[in-house]
Amino acid sequence: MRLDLMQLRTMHPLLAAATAAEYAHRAAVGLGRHRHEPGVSLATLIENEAGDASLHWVRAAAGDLLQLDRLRITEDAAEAVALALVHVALGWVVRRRLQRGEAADWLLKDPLARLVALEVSGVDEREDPHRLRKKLKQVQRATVARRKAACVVELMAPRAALAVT
Amino acid sequence: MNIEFLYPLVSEAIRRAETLDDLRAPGARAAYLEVSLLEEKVAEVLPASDPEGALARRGAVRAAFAAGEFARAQQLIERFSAELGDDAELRGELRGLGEQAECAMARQFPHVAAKPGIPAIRRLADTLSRQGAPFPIS
Repeated sequence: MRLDLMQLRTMHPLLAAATAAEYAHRAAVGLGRHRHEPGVSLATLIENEAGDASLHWVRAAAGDLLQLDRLRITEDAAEAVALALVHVALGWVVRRRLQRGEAADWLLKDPLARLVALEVSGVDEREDPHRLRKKLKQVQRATVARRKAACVVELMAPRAALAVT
Repeated sequence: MNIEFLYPLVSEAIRRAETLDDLRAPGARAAYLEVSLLEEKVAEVLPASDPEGALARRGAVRAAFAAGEFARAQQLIERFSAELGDDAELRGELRGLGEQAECAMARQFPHVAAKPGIPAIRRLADTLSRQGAPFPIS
């Protein structure tokens, strides 16, 4: 499974071009910070099924890291990876971002046109083995969609786990 | 305006407002007001019976509170509630957002909340705002 982070706009037409480009850039900075090179293998766990993907991006300039907030880089890089993963693996497409208080980050549609609320969590390295379960519990509070999903992306490994209810 | 035009703008506006909010930057309130205005536009396109229409109505109110625009938020709650008919769930959610904002304000200003109370201060602020002068004119 090939996840090209430079193709986020093509995957999700309702993402603004500038937004998609910014996510890809943050992902480039975030993954580069862990000395990953484009093409790096991403271990995936999608609904308890282990798999493998490769991540592709255009390298960011070395100085870009200095201009950005560390936490924001991790969060945005995780969102870029998660949005690419759910599209390529499951065919989900972004509708819109959700405000804080809606218990999820994104509203998407699956190939059957069902709404899905997706919560994304990004970490540099795994600190809490129960994070996915906690995020899945959090997203259960979302009322906008019946289907709920949580994705935890770890940049150092790198690895991504997705759970859907 | 259609959803294909509005959704990218809403997503970007939310992201920007939350980033500024995290940084406690001075532009955060203005950014949330933009979110509220865009959500209101979405609410004009999608009916309240549509989950995304309900989401937009909650979003317009939530962002208005985050922008510190309490009068606007209350007006939106009243307007959206009036168009809801039998949808008690969304009406309750909108009212709940107002109560949450009220509680947050009381936590921020506990002495004012105790006496004279947040609603009294808000009424005074509304009066001053309507009359366009800094002091009460009787």
